[in-house]
Amino acid sequence: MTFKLNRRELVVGAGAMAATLSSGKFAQAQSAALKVTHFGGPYQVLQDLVGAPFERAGLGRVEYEVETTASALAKIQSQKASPPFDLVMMSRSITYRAGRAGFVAPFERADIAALAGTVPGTLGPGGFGVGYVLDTFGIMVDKRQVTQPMTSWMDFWRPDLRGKIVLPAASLGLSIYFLLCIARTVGNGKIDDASIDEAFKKLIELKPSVRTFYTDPIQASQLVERGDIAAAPQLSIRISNTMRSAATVGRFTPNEGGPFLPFDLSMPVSAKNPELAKKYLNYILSKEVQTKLAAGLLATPVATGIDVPAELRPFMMLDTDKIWPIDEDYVATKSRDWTTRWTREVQS
Amino acid sequence: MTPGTAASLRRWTPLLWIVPAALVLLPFFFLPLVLLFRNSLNRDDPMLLMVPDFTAINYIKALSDPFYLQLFANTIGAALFVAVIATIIAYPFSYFISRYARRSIGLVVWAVYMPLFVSVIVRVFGWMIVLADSGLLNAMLLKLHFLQTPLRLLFEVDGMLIGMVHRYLPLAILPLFNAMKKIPDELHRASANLGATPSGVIRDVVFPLSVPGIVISLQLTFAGALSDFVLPQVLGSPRFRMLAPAIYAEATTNLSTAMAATLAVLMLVFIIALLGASGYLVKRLTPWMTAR
Amino acid sequence: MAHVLSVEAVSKSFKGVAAVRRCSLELKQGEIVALLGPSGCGKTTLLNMIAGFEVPDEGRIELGGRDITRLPAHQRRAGMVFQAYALFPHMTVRDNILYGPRVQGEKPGVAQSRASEVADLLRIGNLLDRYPSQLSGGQRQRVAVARALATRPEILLLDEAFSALDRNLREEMQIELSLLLRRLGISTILVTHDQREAFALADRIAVMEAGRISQIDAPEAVYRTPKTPFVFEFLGSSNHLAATVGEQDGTPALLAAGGKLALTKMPVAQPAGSALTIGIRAEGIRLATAPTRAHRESPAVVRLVTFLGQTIRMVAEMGDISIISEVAAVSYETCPRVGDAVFLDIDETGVHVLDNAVAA
Repeated sequence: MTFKLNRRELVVGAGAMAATLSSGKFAQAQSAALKVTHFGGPYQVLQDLVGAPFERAGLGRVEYEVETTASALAKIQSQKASPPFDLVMMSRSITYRAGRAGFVAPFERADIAALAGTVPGTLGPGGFGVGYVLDTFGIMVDKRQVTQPMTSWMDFWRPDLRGKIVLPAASLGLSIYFLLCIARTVGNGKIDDASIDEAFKKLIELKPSVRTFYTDPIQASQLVERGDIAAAPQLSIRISNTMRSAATVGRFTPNEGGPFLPFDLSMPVSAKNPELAKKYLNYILSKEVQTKLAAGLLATPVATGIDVPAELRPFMMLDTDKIWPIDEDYVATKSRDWTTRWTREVQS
Repeated sequence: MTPGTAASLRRWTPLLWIVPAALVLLPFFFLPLVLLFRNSLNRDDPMLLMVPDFTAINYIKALSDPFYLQLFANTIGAALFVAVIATIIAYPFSYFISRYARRSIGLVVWAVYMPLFVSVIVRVFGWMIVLADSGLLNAMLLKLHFLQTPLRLLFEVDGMLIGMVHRYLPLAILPLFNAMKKIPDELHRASANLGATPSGVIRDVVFPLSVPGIVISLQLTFAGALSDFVLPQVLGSPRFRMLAPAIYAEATTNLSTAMAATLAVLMLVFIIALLGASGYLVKRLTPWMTAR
Repeated sequence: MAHVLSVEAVSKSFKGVAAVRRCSLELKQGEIVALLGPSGCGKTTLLNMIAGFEVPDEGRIELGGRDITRLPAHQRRAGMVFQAYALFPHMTVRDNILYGPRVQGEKPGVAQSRASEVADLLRIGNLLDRYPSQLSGGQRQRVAVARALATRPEILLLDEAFSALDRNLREEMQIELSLLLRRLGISTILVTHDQREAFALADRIAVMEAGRISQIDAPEAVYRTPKTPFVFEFLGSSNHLAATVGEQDGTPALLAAGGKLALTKMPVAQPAGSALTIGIRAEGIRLATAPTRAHRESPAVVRLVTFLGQTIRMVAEMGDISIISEVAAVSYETCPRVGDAVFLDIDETGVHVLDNAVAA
């Protein structure tokens, strides 16, 4: 059989058609500007904090587009030959896999001088992305309901929280992060197949305590804010922003710490402005911009030695000692199995 | 040009009418469907994402794995429930407005259409406020001492079904209203004149003549609920998995594009089968419509 | 003798507009009465009150000796044939006919025998398995009548039941139905705006105007001796002329067309000099070639001669007045031609004083 139409040709075929009508052609027409994606919402401040000063400094013009990790990945996959972006913002685990599958190009450490002043792991494994905002996982609580501090991830098993907690749904990558936290806790600092199995056993025990599984991180924040539930594992930046607006919401950072979850900027292969992209990354990792980003997003900076205004400190997660790195290779090969198990064994 | 070729050309000219539709449908509807089907025959790899292949493995998995079968059962069950309940609620309402809302008909039909103009997201947030543990409904029932502990509706199947019935009710009302409006007043009178009681008129005349409307109502609400993404995702229970969010999760979280395509193809096949079956059903139930 | 139907001083208004005003009507067993009038005269409303589709504001209706004024439609035994027939499109002819007996609780055997009986009467036995959409207009009407008769109604109501048919078929059906209803002795009320239909079927005709019954009489009586100007005008084609009360050769006379016409045989109650309007039916005027008693001078001129089959219609002009004359077609060879000068020969027994005002 001589059927040799491969995926790439098919995907490119569909993409080319869409591209002629949408951003592809127009992007080419004005390729002088650097196209960068972000997640929208709080990230709108990037224009003021990064894009505008970047242009004022005469470094180049930046245009932002709102994409989620999933939509950005779909676009660089389907428009590989002529990607609509120069830099895409995705979570690290996806960035890594997109790199391994050949959709984003690796960076060399030498490409970006400012990497010298950042925490280890800022340049992702394989060089496929550069983290510019650091997030981790913590516990978000309704302070009215949780009066005893939660010092360990295992505190979710406390009887007083029965029916008052939510966990991330399998459809969110967050479920993997929570699984890693539990596995690392029960495995005494080690994440391997045995500790993952152990973690699943514990999680199955936890099922009666779970009010529901959230399919969007914002649901967890809303439920805690309304007091419908007492505690939720949540992304740290989300906890920070909710705490700033709702006095009843608080944070606990378990003694076992949380995973290193940078949001990466990565460059699709065949991006049109690779040099400008590297210039932009160098700029966004500078101490000056990192300071502004930390204050603007309430994110943990990736650059070291950043001073955060005192009035924002109570809302922020600055305890970087408690953040531990993830073995992206191991996670990438296993995460689909884990998601399946989570769906079938935990979220059922 | 000989007269013969002119005549044969003329035979083809009516086809020009479908050229604009074909220009849109072929590249933007048909071709993507072909690509979708082709993708469903590929293989997913954890590291390399979708790998070109020519295999039925995804179909075998989707149709044999109890997990996916449960997914189909949930989705079809929920869609069936929504279709039947929405149609049952819509039926008397449509009858009422088709018969009695003579002067206010424009206003009433507008009120039915109205929610369709409001983004489903806005409506979903409305339902979240109503259905939450500390929401309007629970607050009211607790205050009136109908309840001791709040009902768990939000993020449960119940809340999703309530939201879906609300979302698809207009799609149930409009075809029913349309079918009933077409029943001449004289038929009601003729039935009564021959001795039928008011309920007999509905049983013998209104109901059989509204069968096509009922079937369209069921079709639209069923297909809508079957492929709904937003309500299961935002109002529903992650423990009760529905097809559309599952397809999305396969494609995004699992990066299993081929499996997602397979599930989408199966959903499409199911909807086509359903339309065919209901078309056949209408033909069987309404022999008078095709009698010549 | 007891009446099958008696309608006593019934009135009905819709939103303050009177549709039917104190109408009374009695129907003997086997009698056929036509409610005849223009659209909006209230005839359909009156029929709907008899059928039970409307409730009278006042008055009383009795059917078969029982008061049905407020009885729901489905408890009355009045079979109706609707204008568009209102056959149930989802039922075969057989099921349409069986429907009445079925919902009235007849045993299946009884219903079946009734159905085949009325199917025979209306000669539709070969159509029983068809749907209404497969029938011609005439066939539908037969089915509609059969369906109404299958319930053995005390009275049959026909609502413009022939208006959907072509003219030839209409007349054929009128004759057939007229014979059938008389043979079966079924008391019938038919509503129509078509006088030919009323004449073709009815024993008596009730002419209605603006919610009132103006006259109820045998067909020839309403035609020949109309009691109101409206009845005269509504039936047949007629000429309207302005006239004054005066004298001719010493006898009192009505003078029309500026004195060129003198009608001397008319009883005139009004004083001399009164202005009034007279009506003369088209068949009451002949066009003569020699002066006549009524028309001695200033001949009229023929402008139009139309052959209508059974009759010839001629239009003559006399100054600015147009006169219509209709005579039997047998005289076609001898009748005047366009351009001929003619005198009017008027049958004075057919002249009616309509109004005290001058015709427009």
